[in-house]
Amino acid sequence: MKGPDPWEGVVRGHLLPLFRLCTVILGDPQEAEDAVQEVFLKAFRAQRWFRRRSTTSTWLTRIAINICRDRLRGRRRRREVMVESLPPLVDPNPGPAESLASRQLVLRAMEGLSAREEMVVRLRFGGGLTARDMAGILGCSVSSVKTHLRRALRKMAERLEKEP
Amino acid sequence: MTRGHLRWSEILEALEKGQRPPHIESCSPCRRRWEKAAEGLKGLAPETPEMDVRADLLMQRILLTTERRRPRRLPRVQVRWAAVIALGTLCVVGPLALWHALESNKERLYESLMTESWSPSMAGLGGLIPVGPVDPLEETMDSLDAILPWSSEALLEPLSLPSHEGEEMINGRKYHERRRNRA
Repeated sequence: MKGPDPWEGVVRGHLLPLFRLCTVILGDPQEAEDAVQEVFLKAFRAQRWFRRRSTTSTWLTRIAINICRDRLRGRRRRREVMVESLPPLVDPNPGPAESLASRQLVLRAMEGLSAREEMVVRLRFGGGLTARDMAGILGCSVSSVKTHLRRALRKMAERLEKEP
Repeated sequence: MTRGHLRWSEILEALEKGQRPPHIESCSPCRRRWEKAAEGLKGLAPETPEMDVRADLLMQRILLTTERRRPRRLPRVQVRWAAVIALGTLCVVGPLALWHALESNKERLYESLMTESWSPSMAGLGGLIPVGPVDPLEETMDSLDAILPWSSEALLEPLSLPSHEGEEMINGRKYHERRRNRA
């Protein structure tokens, strides 16, 4: 008799938290779906090399963070290459006009951030995570997270000062 | 920005810390900025009311994709039996084949061992074993000639000592004879 598939258990147990995390970091549920699928495909291919030095959850989160970072970088590269032909920023959560304007203002301010800085800002304001939680997810120290956040906010403020 | 108003950096820092500066209560431009920034940053939190449904669909998609990529494996029992059969076949067929080969070439093997001389290639020693019948003594002498600086014939000649050595020997013998006679 065939027992329960362990891989299915892994997917069932970790999909929703990873989906939430990717959605917060990428700010777009559609892209987050693709990212999560990529996470599980990578994990599936690499599972025989997984040495269980960390928990499955930590391992999957690391993969998700790397994939999200690559996607943010790709997004930034595309924006740099086709800056002229780009349509105005697409807000995945459209709302009232004022709210939309505010969101677009913040998104424009975030354009100058590095992928890591953007992740930290999104996790802090979009996910409401503390510096300690972010350090755990990103696999770095709390002070490093705080430094990234401070630098990101300074860059955003510089951009906002130039706004009319 | 005129002096006395909050800078964007101060607004963002206060929002990050979850503080509400008292200045914004009395300054309407700063309050507007504050509200704008707070609204924009709040918008970073994705609104996904149907997240559970999406997650369910996503899970089906992932399981289907990984199932297609899963390598087809034989059940363990079958693999074990296959290994046992292969090993057994090797153990039975190997010796049988060897025995058959020896049996069918028995005459030829016997003949070559008994009548023909060993060739270097057969011996596998690269010329250490001579080919064909040879006289052992002649062969030894030839070998010595090749190795030693003098002729092997000299070795066969009777020993001839130098004259002074012979005299010493003779003198020695005479001395012993004289001593024996005196005694």
